[in-house]
Amino acid sequence: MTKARAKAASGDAAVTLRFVGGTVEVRHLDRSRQAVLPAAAGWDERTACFRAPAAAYASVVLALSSARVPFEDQARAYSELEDPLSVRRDPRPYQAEAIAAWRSARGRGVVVLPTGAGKTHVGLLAIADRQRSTLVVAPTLDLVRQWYDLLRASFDTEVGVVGGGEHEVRPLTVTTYDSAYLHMEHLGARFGLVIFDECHHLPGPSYALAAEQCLAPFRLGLTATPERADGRDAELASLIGPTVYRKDIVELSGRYLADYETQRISVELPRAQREEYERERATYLEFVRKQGLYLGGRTGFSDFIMRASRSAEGRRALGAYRRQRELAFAAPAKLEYLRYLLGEHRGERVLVFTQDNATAYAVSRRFLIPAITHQTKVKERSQILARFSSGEYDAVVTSKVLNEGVDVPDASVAVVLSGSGSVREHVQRLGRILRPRDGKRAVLYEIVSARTSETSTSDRRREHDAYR
Amino acid sequence: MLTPDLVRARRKGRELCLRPLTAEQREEAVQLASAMIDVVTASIGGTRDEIEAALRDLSAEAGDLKLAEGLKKLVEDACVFGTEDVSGAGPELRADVFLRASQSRRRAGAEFDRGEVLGAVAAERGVSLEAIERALYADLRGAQVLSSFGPLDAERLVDDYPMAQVQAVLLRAARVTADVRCARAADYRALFHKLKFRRLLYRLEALPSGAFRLVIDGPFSFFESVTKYGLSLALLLPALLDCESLVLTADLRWGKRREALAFRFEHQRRDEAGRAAPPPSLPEEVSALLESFERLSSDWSAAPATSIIDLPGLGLIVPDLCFENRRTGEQVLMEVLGYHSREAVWRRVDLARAGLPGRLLFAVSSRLRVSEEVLDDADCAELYVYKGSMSARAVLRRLQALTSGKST
Repeated sequence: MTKARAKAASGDAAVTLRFVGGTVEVRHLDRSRQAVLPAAAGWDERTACFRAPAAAYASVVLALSSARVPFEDQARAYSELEDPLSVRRDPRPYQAEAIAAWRSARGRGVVVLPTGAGKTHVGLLAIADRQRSTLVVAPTLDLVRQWYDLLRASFDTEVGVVGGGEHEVRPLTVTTYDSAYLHMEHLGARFGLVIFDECHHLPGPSYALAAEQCLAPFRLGLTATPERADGRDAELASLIGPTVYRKDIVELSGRYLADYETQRISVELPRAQREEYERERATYLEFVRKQGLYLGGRTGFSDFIMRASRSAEGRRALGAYRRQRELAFAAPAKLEYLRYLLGEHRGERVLVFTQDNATAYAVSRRFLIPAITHQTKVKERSQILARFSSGEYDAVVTSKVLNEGVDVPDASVAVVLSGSGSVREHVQRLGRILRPRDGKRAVLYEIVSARTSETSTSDRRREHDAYR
Repeated sequence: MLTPDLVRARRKGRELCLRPLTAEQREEAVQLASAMIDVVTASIGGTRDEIEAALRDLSAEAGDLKLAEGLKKLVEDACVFGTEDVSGAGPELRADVFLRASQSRRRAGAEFDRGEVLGAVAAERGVSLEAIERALYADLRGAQVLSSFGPLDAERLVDDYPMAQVQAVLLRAARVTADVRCARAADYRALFHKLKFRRLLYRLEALPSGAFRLVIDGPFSFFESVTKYGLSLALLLPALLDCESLVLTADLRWGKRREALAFRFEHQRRDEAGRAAPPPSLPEEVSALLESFERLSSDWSAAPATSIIDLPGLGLIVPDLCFENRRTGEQVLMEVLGYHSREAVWRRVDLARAGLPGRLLFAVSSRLRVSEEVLDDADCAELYVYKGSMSARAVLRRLQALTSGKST
């Protein structure tokens, strides 16, 4: 046995915790003492030390302390916040209840509140409650920008941003899920509290790693729609904590959310386009039938894409699929009806949603209204949203980037020109116009190409209490 | 770099096998690559959308779509796009147009007139209405302009394609096992340096064949098989290919369903003419020391070292030479650290002080300003600081000191 190993085995060197690549290494604790550590930790032959996922940091610390094993903690790199909340706003009753429930769960859990109910304020209350350096993880750059502005205004301190070309880490930092996945193995020790906004994005093989590689003992998940089609929402309990508080749209509508109505408008395709639509759809469906594919299954569509790429006939079918979709998405009658709605709601703030960027840019060019897509840079997005908020712009068209969370309090009209069958996407889009304002009555229009597959897509996405 | 969806492979049981190009496919690939290169070369100044459409048209006609898409990706990787300097294009123009449009819509009783809004902006800027239409979204990705390309050779591109496929497969690797053999300690050191640089972890095992087995993954792999280290593993491939021989197996999580598949790949380093590369010689200064040491006629023999000293959790040493006492059989390994890294010397000093599994002699150039005395208290190691070139006699003296005065 070498001297170093003998020294470690004899317990001469201090037991040390280190954060390495999203894990916690427990060094200089003899291998025979595994029982001291929680089950998440195991002996790693590669580095001759114990290793646990960073998320188990708190339980490792508790276990060593309970066993009275002295240790040097080089893992924890987070601190107490020096700057307290500088702007305090009284929480609404349900926000106060939510934070109390989270506190009772030892600062680990998910709060479910409808869009527009002020989830971000619950986040602020959590930061103020724990006073630890905090990382906020949000799904889009728009939400990152929004959290940045809110934190900047609420705490008298600089706020860091990681993502969208920026990499500045501060005790209060905001990042995207993508950047969290990429950088958590380096950043994971620097925050005592992590807030996952729109946390239904978290479960899944990639993003879940961001939660596992972070050693923050305190975790808060915020969402309006925790349920996932793949059933992986059950993983939120282990990644963040249990659902500690929940209120749905119908419970808060009227008092805390704006009153609203939804209208579905069916428009007919012109004859030539109808014929082309039918022709292309038949080509695509014939291929699907010949291949024996079931598109309703979970992998149905990806199976179609895979088979289609293997033959000239398949490629033709894929082209036909795209064309019939294009025809349904941007039917001239839809755009004509949009023109009517923009006139009808003159003086109001209108948000137009599309399924794809091409339609968003087509609407932008035709009606000369600003478009926000994933290609729009952060500065321009901020400027567009600020002008929309101030009323300088009367309308904004967006593909999917404003689906979630982004605060557009003055929008009262939403027009869904095209979308997926996702209930969550549709509820989130409705949520954009539900921020309360005196006397506000919001309206969501859904324009659907009649007698196309859009009708059934629309039926699927309306399967939520909010639309009944 | 190719992406995993562009890999031409088939499943054979639980294994992923790359589909090699037949002679006919290779010929078709070279023709297609050549056509793509011609199209792009002729499109300098064209927009990204135009170039992508032209390349897509070429791919659509190809017999093997995946091969065509792969070549297209490699050709696109060699393109450098910039933004065309359209006067007044971008956010400022858009803001101007959209603000006027918004004001126009708000005017009570008036019908929104698109042409009127654009016409007013065009008149104010002294350009045509068409120029305003063109410039409105000229800064989008699709409107970016090809500023330079290549140089790229179709034959070379197709030759490199199989390796690009291997690299793309490794993007979905959870763990890689690499049996490597290098002719020089320096090559091993370079490989371990790359592993450390990529923040990968490994287990090392000496194989009876004289090669070493490296099981490579990352810290979090201890808990679950994750493809998070796939990019690092893919980027490590060139360093692995620099080894004289490589047998690589990878545990993959393949496809949308992340199916567990195995992948195997073998490689022998070859010279430009395709012959197996001759074993590289020792570094010049080590070679010179070896020769002069043999002329000393001492009790010690010297030969290039074939071992690696791995101390998990502590560090790794790749010796250059192994000295053996002909009478007693005692061995001393020597690592020549030269004059490149003072930090590397201090790491060795720490290891020596902590204890080593054998006797080690570290040779360090005096240019690194390290004193031999720093290792006086270590039983198993000596530091030899040399000025200019290493002396065989000085090395012999230290071997004798290590085996007579010091013991492990």
